[in-house]
Amino acid sequence: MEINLINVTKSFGDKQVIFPTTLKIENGSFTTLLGPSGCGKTTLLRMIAGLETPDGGEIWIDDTCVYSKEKNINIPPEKRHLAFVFQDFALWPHMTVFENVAFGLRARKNTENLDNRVRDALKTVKLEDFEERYPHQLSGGQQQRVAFARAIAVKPGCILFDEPLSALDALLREQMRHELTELTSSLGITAVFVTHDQTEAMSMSDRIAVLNVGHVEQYDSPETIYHNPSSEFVARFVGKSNWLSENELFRPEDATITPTKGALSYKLPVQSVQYLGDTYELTLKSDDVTWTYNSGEKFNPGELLSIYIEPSKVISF
Amino acid sequence: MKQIDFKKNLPFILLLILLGFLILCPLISIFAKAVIIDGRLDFYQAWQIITNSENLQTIYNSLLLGVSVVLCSTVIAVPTAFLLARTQLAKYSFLDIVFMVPFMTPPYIASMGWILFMQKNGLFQQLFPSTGALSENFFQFGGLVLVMSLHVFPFLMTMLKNAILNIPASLEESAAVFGAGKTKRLTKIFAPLLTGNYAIGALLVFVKTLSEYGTPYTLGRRIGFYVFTTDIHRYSTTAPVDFGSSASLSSILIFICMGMWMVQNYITNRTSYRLVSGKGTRPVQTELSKLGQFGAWLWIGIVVLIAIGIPYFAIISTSLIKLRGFGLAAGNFTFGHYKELLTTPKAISSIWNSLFLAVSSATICSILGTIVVLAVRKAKGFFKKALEAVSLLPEMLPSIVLVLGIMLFWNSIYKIIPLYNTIGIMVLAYVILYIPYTVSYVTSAFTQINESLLEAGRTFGATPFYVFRRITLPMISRGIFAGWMMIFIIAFRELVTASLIAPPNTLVISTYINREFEQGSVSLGMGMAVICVIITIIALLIFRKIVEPKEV
Repeated sequence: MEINLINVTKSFGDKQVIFPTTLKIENGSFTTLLGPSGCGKTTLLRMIAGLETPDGGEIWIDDTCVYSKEKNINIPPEKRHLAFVFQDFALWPHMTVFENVAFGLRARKNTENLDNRVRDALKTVKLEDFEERYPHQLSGGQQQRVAFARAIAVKPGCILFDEPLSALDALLREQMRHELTELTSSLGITAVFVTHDQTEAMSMSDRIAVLNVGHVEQYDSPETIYHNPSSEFVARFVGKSNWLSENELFRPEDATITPTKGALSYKLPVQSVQYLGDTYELTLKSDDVTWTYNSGEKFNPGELLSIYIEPSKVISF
Repeated sequence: MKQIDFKKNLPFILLLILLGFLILCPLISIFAKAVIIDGRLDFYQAWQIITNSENLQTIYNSLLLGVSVVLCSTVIAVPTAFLLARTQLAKYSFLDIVFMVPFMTPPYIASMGWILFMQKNGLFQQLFPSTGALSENFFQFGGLVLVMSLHVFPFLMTMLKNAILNIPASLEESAAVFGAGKTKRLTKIFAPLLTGNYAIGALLVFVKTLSEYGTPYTLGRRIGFYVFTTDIHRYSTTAPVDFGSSASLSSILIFICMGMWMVQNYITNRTSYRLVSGKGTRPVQTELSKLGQFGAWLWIGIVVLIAIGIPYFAIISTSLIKLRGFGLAAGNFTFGHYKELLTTPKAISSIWNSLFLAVSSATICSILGTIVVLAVRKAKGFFKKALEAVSLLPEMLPSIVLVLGIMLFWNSIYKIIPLYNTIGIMVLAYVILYIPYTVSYVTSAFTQINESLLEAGRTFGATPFYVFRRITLPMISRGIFAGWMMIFIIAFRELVTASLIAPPNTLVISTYINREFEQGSVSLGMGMAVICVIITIIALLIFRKIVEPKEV
């Protein structure tokens, strides 16, 4: 399912939360809207779903225009044939797991073979034995899986995810990250995923749209975003950055302590050391900058350390 | 068996004995009176009393009234709650205060307003002479149901409104995304999520209706419709006094109310998990069209007109009319009745009596209730449960039943403690009736205090007493004061206690109003009613100031 946003805008009261935004979400891709809270990413997602009405522009889902200010089209959410996974899961507390998953099929009067299809969806998320339970009898991770089963049961062209992992603890979050990407790609479903967590975005996405105060700052593959950020905001928001000047930086892992020919070299005192298990994370402090460097061996605070950076690794914009 | 540590539990034991003496003994007196006839335990006779046809009729009447009031208040409360929770009307918070007015208006005063409005040569007929005797149709069962529903519907409405506000928006949004249209969302998601809360609200309305005395007394008696409370009152006060019958009826009423509370409790436990929402609860709004908004305001207007406008118009205009024979006519208005009220010793003394009772009972309740809550928090096991249960018991029972129990009990121990027939017995009765208010307000204030705040105080070297004085007390003081104010408001206009156990020639506001309404100057009575309502409203505004969470 291909989704096209064309010059979409949105204000809440006096505050414009989405400036004219054009975005093409490709069929079968896993696309992430990444940005700090209040950047408008959730609003964008909700406008695709039809839960929020834009002020202007157009939204197309495949060949259907679902919203157009000029043509006065606004298809309500129930007619857009999408699926949504909410941040709080939004499982209906008065329905069993089975009924929750069956809801989308029943609501669209698509009840042929209902039992099997619901069970298939539950099997996909490994919850086939839980169909008679109520949501409050499940753990957070299980609730999250039910929400996902509910989404895939309706065989949508696209699933919209609104920070679905933020309610889970760290361990579960990482596990669900893998499960979600595997499932969406094996089912061939287009996914639009909203998050403020850059690790999530980097690890799951085919493409990331980085949003900042209602603007899409960059829309690219994770690698491009990391290695070629198009603005200071993107560079700061994604990955760790060691700044050389106002518009030049390098990533900590691109520095070495072995001198190479033509490399830029810097000598800095170690300010603090954190042992992370696999490496030591050093904070290096010069007059006006603080850098981080991951080292295999331990240094003590106060020691002077020389580091070298290939000029080609310096990112500038 | 484990030895109960007597010394450690002594304060709890003493407190439990005190509460038992105050609350349980009167109740036991009722049951005893119901089954002990001529000094012998006689269940057969007790059963005979209950099942005589007159009493059966009373029981039937009460239940019919309860069910009808539940239905009627549902019709008023459900649309209003929806409008106030979900539409553009939600932003007008003054409507919350407006809808508290009918609930806070003493029921007997509202009924008097309705009677004055609808009766023969009443205000309606004066305003619309061409309608003839139409308005007198009000004086039947339907009229009684309407007046009682207008009193309780705000209670149901507030419960429903809060329940609606507690439904996370995402539950309905997800239904929309998964293909459910407006109607389907309403019937499959919205309505089922509210049934639990509605059932609880309906049960409470039912219990409140069965326990209500004011309206059945003023309006029900007029149309010959007797219920539990009016019959209990009649048997206890009108010759030939028959305490046996009133005790039997009271016992049945107690069983019905306790049963309802148990059902209510069961539903609460079953449904409370439901609307505990996750993050990101955002209010859902239904945008009404211009026409829809007009309809919404029209509905609100009609409800306000009927629930507040009519009774208050009747009360206020009657209090200002010079000669009732001339009715609403220019030149026939005067402030004379108010002047007369403020110069008549009887009227002034009844205001003072009400003030004295309200202040003293509110103060005693606040102290005793806070002690009870502190004890409940400290105690464990049996004492915790027992203290909590006994102190909240009066809230679950109709006040007329408790007052009857107090009458019977204190009468029987008159030789030991001669409190009966003094104003002291009234203070005592008020304290018993209203102690649950303090207990629940202070308990809820405590739930906002995290245990770690107190532990923090201890770790910084404070003695337990210092922690109590500097941390606990300031934090629960709002709860205590809110409880005090609420008790003041309700005690100030209390009718049933005053009409049953006031010493001879001691009038309070409610009994004064009643006496003037029935056999004196109706205008004087209504003037007093207006004064009573004004004082109530002032107290209520102060109360709201206290309860409103501070801006952070």
